[in-house]
Order: sequence, then structure tokens, then C-alpha cells
Amino acid sequence: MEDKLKQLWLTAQAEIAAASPADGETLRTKYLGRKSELNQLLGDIPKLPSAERAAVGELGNHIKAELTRRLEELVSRQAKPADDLFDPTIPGLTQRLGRLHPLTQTTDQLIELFQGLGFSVAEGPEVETEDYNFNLLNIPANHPARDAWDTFWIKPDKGAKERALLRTHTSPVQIRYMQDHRPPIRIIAPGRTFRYEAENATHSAVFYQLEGLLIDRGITVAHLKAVIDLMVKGLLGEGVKSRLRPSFFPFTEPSFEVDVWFKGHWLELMGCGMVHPTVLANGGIDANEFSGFAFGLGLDRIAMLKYGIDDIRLFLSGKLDFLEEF
Amino acid sequence: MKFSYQLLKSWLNFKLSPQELSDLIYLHITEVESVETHGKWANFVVGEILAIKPHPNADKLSLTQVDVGGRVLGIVCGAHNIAVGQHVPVALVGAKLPDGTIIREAVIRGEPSDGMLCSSAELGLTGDASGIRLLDTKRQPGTSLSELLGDDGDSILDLKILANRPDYISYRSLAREIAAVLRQDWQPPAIAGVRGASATEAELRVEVKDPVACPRYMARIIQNIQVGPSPEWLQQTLTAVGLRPINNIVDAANYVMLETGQPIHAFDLNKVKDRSIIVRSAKVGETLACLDGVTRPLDVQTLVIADSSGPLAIAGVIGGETSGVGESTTAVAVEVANFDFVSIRNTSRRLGLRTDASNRFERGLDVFLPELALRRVIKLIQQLCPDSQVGKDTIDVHQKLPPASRLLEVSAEAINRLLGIIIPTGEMADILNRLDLSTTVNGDRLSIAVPHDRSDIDGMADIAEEILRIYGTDQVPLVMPALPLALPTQPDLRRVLTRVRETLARLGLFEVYLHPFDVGGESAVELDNPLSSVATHLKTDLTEGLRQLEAGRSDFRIFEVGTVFAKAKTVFPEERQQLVLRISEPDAYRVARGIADTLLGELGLTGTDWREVAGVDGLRLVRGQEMVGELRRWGSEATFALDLSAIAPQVRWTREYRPLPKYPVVKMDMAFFIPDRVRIADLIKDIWAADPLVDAVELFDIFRSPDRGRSAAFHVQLRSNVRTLTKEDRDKVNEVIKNMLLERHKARLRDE
Repeated sequence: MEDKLKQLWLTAQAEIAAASPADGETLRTKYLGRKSELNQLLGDIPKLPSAERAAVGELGNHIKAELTRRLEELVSRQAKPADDLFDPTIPGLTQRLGRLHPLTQTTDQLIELFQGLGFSVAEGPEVETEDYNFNLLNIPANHPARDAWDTFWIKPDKGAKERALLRTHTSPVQIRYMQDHRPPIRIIAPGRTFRYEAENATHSAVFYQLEGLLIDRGITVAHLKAVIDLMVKGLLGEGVKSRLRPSFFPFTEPSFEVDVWFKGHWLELMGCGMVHPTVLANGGIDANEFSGFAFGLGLDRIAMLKYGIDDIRLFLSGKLDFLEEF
Repeated sequence: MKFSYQLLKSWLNFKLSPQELSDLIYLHITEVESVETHGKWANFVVGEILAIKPHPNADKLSLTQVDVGGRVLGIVCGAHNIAVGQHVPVALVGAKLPDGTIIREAVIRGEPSDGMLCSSAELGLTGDASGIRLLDTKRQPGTSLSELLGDDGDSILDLKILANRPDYISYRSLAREIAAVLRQDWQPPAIAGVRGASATEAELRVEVKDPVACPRYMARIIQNIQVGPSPEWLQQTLTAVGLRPINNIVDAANYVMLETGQPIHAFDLNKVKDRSIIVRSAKVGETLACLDGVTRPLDVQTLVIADSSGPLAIAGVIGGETSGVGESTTAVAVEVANFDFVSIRNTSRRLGLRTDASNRFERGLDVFLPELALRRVIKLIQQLCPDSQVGKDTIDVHQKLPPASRLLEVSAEAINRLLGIIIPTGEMADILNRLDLSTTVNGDRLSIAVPHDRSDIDGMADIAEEILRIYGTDQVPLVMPALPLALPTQPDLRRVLTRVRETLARLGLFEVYLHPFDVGGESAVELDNPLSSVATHLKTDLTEGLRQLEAGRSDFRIFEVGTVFAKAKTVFPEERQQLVLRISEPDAYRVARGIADTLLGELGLTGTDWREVAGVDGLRLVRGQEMVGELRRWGSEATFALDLSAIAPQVRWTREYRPLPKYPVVKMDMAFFIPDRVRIADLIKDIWAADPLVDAVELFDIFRSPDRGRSAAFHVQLRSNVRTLTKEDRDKVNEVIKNMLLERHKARLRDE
């Protein structure tokens, strides 16, 4: 019985496939009609031994449903007039894909990278006090080092004791986090930062940074180098080399610039260094027991490097043509 | 700050090329901003051919990749004798060939070319014109051709002066650092004592009225001088770094400034009334005709060098014209002083005048430096004017001087522990000694006499930095820190922002970033020093800024997420995170509403409600009594603003599975004519409420017919969780809805 059904299926489906819509009714009578072979076979199923009955029944019903579907399909081809005017080469209707800003994408990429290394994300306010932005980071008033940070100041209220400002870097988050947490500390702090300076293709008064801080017992320059190198490779590619060279930042000692060998040039990528003992102390951490490193990179700069963007002002331009490229 | 390669080379007698010197400084001392070569072979360097491939558009040309030291250039070449690994002369962009051709960036048959590989003939040398000249492969890529072919030119290195190292501004310090890196013994130019025989008895009185602004004032008289042009070597050293030679006395002062970092000024002694100098604040109404020909009004914050008749110079910034050294000068008073950097910086800023002197003073110079510089400049003037007579006494007015050095004790092991490397103690001491940080070793202890001019050195970390940068940061291995595993965290608000951004991008919106400033309102935080008159305050709301953005097209969806600021009672304003989206397309208002509802659903917010407010073209989103968002129509556009800080605590982070429905739905369409004042939202709410079987309601058509008013059509979906619904169920619910809408809203079924 099972073989007969299978044989019937093979014959029928071949014939339907070769048939024209006009044959539909004839074939329907032949294969599905009351006197059709299939109908007879199905009618014989109850006579089968009970062990076989279920399986054969299922096969028979499946064949019946499938033949019904195929015959309907065959007939429906006839029902529709041939669509001679259909042009398969017609262009698709424009679909709009939304996009995240290139700086969001760059930030997200770095967050993902550092989260993979166990770094948490920390944040701080954009309006800061002089203490958090400068003094606690070992940048005293009137020190020539402060000239490196041209500052937007907030108009003080009458009788205000502290001066507020728009943070010139994300480094205040270091202090805030240290004050609230004990080592081991492993954070990154992305955020918006501000410099009081005229804007041109390479300078923006509003820009974005990502700060990193790692503190534990026995952290060394060798650790700093390894983590930076890993970051560079994760960000720009496995083959990209990095190197450190001496620099100066008031909140790290020793301080370094990181260069990367990228597209045939050594390019300055970011600053970093071992957290200055004074800064550790200001964060409430015993510099005799713990050491750590910090780094800060310009997200705008990274995005410009990555995508080859030549004008930093494009980021805040709101130009959709620009944003569509990412 | 500019430095001459030739001068450093003459002092240190090294074999480094300008490029090699630049690399050394870059990796061990400070940033080199540029290396500029003067002379015949400026911009000609040795290049190593790294790769050659055929030019796609020209059979006779090839494309080469050439390492020119620190970077790789793509250069199109027509010669056939080249091969990978050869060292060849490269004319960089800006180079001038002997025939006058200037090399520029070019595109040759469609391929960019950043320079030119040169044949002997092209270099103006005798020899073969048919192929590229091949050079000794021992020469480093980047080496200037002048080193191979001979040239009397010079290279000028422009260095960044780090804020903690004002001493880097002198040849002496720079040479000391280079010598330390090269582990080479080196003595600075001699400053041996003044010849006593020609001393003169002439006197000068100096009075310092403001010892805070002028901690030290040294001076010495020199008589019987002959003012004239300086010798060639001196003029050349000055012009190499951009200083203009004036005469032998001024040039000597400027030269010693370059050498030591200490600005020096010479007054014509005969123009100093009563031979008496007073260092004081300027008086109201005083002016000074300065050496640059400009007469400047002075104020009481300005420190001046004066005689009894009035100001002679603006201290530390610029000299006066009348007291300057000219051809008729026969005697001078040489001033070598120390001024407070804050005072000089403020004066320089007020005047809008930066000079070689102010640029040095404002970094904070050492109070001991004048001793050295004065002896050096006297010695040099004596060399230049052999008949001159130097005053018997050195004038030196100062308060109590600090100790010339202080002792610092650090542990060598602690340094190695910070650096993650083992540097032998003896090597540490050697490096420090070469940096004039005189060090003795006692076991693990380094005892270091830190000279007063190294105020940047305060503790072990500073010493570690000195050692490491000379030793070489490349010597430190890469070692991964081993911290305990821990789950990284993110502030919840940041996670909300990320989710909002991603949801909106999925809905076809573009994210924009805009400036955070506007002209402010009542609660806005005001800037004390705005960059422009239209950017005076921090935004309290992002809507207006986004609405004003010129998108340059008519059909778009954009959003911004960012901080808004409002004045608060503390020094910190209130900072909140806001989302604003703007829709410009047909039916923008409904699209914006749809996006808003989808977003709120995606965030899993419950308990929010849209509320209509009289007089506003839109809806407010409220949660309890608090307004958390606003949807608005602006002509053919729409915006939606959402206070993310307010809703963040309510965002649902987990999902829970609901069993899939077991029974099929029954669908029906219902269309009504409705009076104008009826709100669609009320109709939908009532349809929902009409029967528990109602499972979904969707408006699918709305229009206004000229004769019968507004028409609204709904898909209504019914479902039961316990049984399959019948036609009777459907008819019953249909009837209930029909009657309810008629009764409550006078809405009539359209087909009746």
C-alpha cells in the first residue's frame, strides 16, 4: 500500500508539473476525484493492520493535500491574465536606514572593546568646579600648565565660593570615581568636553573624549604599554604598531604620548601616563600601596583617523549628507 | 621653539643626521613639530624602495612605495633600473631641482605621486641621466642628501616646550639632554670669569620696588664698547632660528638668551638718567615708545624698568626706543633679571604682545639662571669688543635666595616597580648625573641633589620619568595586568541612552550632534566668556536647536540625545539627558507619534499617558503629575521631546514570555462618520472598553467627505483565550461598539 501511494505521488506530480492550466480540471478528476486511485487507496486504509494504519494514513493525507495545492496553483496560473507589462528590472523603492552618529559609533566601539577587558563605564557632570577640573588633578591656578586648557567659565552667582566651568577634559571623572571606589579600579569615561578656542578644521570648542583609569597594587608602565597596545590593535587593526614617547601632563608621572604606525605614518593618537601620586592622594587612595595608569583620547580624533575625515567641524554640523556616509 | 642642527652638532660633535637627531629628540626629550632644511638639498632625502608595481595606465611607468624615514610615499617613476631594496635620492614635495623645477603633489596618468625619484642629471650632478642614481644602502631612509653630497645648509628643528620644562627653551639644556641619551660626556661653552684688568669704577644704582614681581635684578656696566655688526657666525646663529641681527651688543644678548634661556637686555648707559634704575609699577598716564616703533600706554599692573625721568622698558617684555643700544652707544648697562611669570604673562596678554623675552619669562625661569647668563654675556661682549671695560661690581638685588639644590632620596627598587622593568642602580645614577641631577648610590637608595631650576622634580615618580625617557620607553616590555575578573558595569542612564539611540536608528532616524549653546532663557546657565553672541548660554532644551537645523532636504527623520542644563541652587547646575526627534515627511505628525509610541513600548514604559493641552498643537506625555515628553506639530513637520532622566528609572530591562494565543482571531472593519469635536483617541479607547473580547484596534482610514463630515475606519480584532469565536460573537461585539459610539460620540456607522 505504501509503495502504491509513493508510485502514485511520483506519477501525479510529474504530470501536474508538465501540464498546462487547461488540463487542471481533467487532472483534478483523475487524481482527486471520487473514483480516483488515491481515493480508493485512502478508503482501504482502515483495513490495514493497526500497526501500519497511522503511518500510511499520514502519508496518504499528505499526498492528497500536496496534490490539491499543486492543482490549485496550476489552475490559478490560468485565472490570471499574463502580466506582459511587468518589468523585473525596475529599481527598488528607496528604503531608509537610520544611522548612529560616527562619534556614537566610535564611542560604542571603544566601550565594547574595554568592556571585553573588564572595564566599567563611569560618567561625571559636564559642568565642573575648578577643583575637580584642575586643582585636584594637580593643575594649580596660575601654573603655566593651565594654559594648555583654555576654559569656558560659567558666570558665577553673586557670592559664589567656587568657580564653575565647562569641563576641559574627562579627567575629573577619575577623581570622582576614586573618591567613591576602592581599588582595583578599571574604568573608562566617555563624554563631551569643551575648550574655549576659535573653531577651524582641526579645532572644535566642543569635542569628545574617552578617559581610562586602572588602579591596583603593583601596576607598572609595562602594564600601561600592554593595555594601550591592545587597544590600538583592537581599534585600528592587528597589524598596527604603537609606541610611547615622553610628554608632560600634570596628572600623570611619567607621562607619555602614544604614537601609532598607521597608513605609512607615525601619528600621535593620545596621551597617557602613570597616575600622579598627588592625584591618587586627592582621590583618597594611598600612593604607597596602589599605583595605576590613566589615558585620555579624543574621540573626534579617532573617528577622523578611522574614517579619514578632514574637518572636525563636520561632526556638529548636522549635515545629513555627511552622516549618511557612516 | 626653533633650534639649529648645526649649532648642536658643533657643540656635541655627533654623527647624527638632522632626521636622526629629530627622532632622538622625539623619542627621548620632547615633541619635534617640524624639521626644516635650508640649503641646496632641502627636501631631498634618502628613500628605500619597498615595492614596485606596473602603472595601470602607462607601460613605461611604474608605481613605487618608498620609505623616506617615518613615512611611506607612493611615487610614480619612469626609470627602469630600480628594484626593491635600493636606496635612491627622493625629491620630496617642496624640493627645488637645480633646473628650478619645484616638486609638487601630482597625479600622473591617473595615479597620485608624492615626490620624485632622481637621476644624477636631475640632481645637477655629472653622470647618467638614463636611470635613477643609486645610493649606499647603509644610509637610513630619511637622511638628508646634504649628508651624502655635502652642503653648507642647516636644519632647523622646531620643538614643543613642555609646560614643566621651561629650561628646554635653551641650547644648554637641550644639548645636555641629547648628550645624556647618547651617553656622551659634554661641557657647555665656557663662562670663565671676567678679565679684571679692564675693570671700570663706573657705578649704577638699582632699586627694586616690587620684589614679588622682580625677585632678582642683576646688572653690570660695560664701558668703552664699539657698537657694530656682529661677526658672521653670530648673525647666522640668530637668523637660523628667526632672530634679526641688530648689532654686536644686542646680538650677544640674544645669543646668550638662546644659549641659556635667560632673556637679557642692554640699556645705553648714557640714556639712563642719574645712572639709577628703578623697578616699579607704571604710573597712570605713563607711556613708552617701544623698540618695535609702537608707543604703548602703560597701566599700574605693568612692571617697568625706569630711571628718575620715566620708564625705559616694559619689564620682561620689550625695551624702550630711546634707551636702546645704537651706533652712538659707548657704554651699556646689561640687565639680567628674573621676573614673576604671572606678572609677565598678564602684561603680555594685556598688551597683546609676545616677544622672545616674554615667551621665556612667562614659563617661569629659575632665579639662579641670571648668574650664569650674566657671566656668559659679559664674556661674549668682551670677545666681541676686546677694548671694552667691565664694571668692577656686579649689581645683584634680590630677597633671600632659596637653596641652590635640595636633596631627594628615592629607592631604586621603587622606580623599577613603577616602570615594570629592571634598570641597574648604577645605570640610573649615570643617567641622572648626566642630567645634572647629581646622584650618589647607597645600596638601594639614590641620593639626588636636585638643582633649583628643576622645580618639576618632586618625588620618586619624577625621577622614574627622567630615567625612563633617557633609557628609552621602548625598553619596557608589554605585560598584561592581572586583575580579578569582574562584571563590567554601566550607569543605567547610559544604557537607556544607548537603547534609545539604537531603537531610533532601527526606525530610520539619523542621529545628529549639535552645539550645546544658545542665547538662553530664564533658567539657563550663562557663560562668562562666550565665543559668540549667539552662543551665550547652555541649552535648557534641545528642541529649538534641532528644529532650526537646516537639513538641506525636505524628507528626513533626525534625532539628538544630549545633556540639557538648568540653573540650580548649588554650583552645579541640574544636568538632564533629553531626546528630541524631528520628522519631516508626509503625515509627519502621525509618523512622529508612531515612533514615540514604538520607542516607549520598546523601553517597556508603563503608566505614561498622552494628554491634550489647550492651545498647544500636540500632546504632552505625562507620568502621574509629571510631564516627561511633548509631541508637537510644526506646520508640515513634527517633533517629539522626551526627558530621559525622568523615565530612566522606569525602563524595563527584562522581558517575560507570554504563551502564544491558542485560538484564532476574528477580524472586522468598522467605519464611522464622526462629529468634528470627537477625538479619535476617545473612540479607540471606547472600542477597547466595549467588550473584553477586543484584542486590537487600529485606525486604518480617516478622511473628510464634503457632505457628511469626518470619517474614520478601524480594524477591530477579537480573540478569546478559552474558545474559538463564532459569527454570533462578532455580531454581538459589533453591535455593542456601534451603539456605544453612537450614544457617547454621535458616531454613525458609515454603511447605514
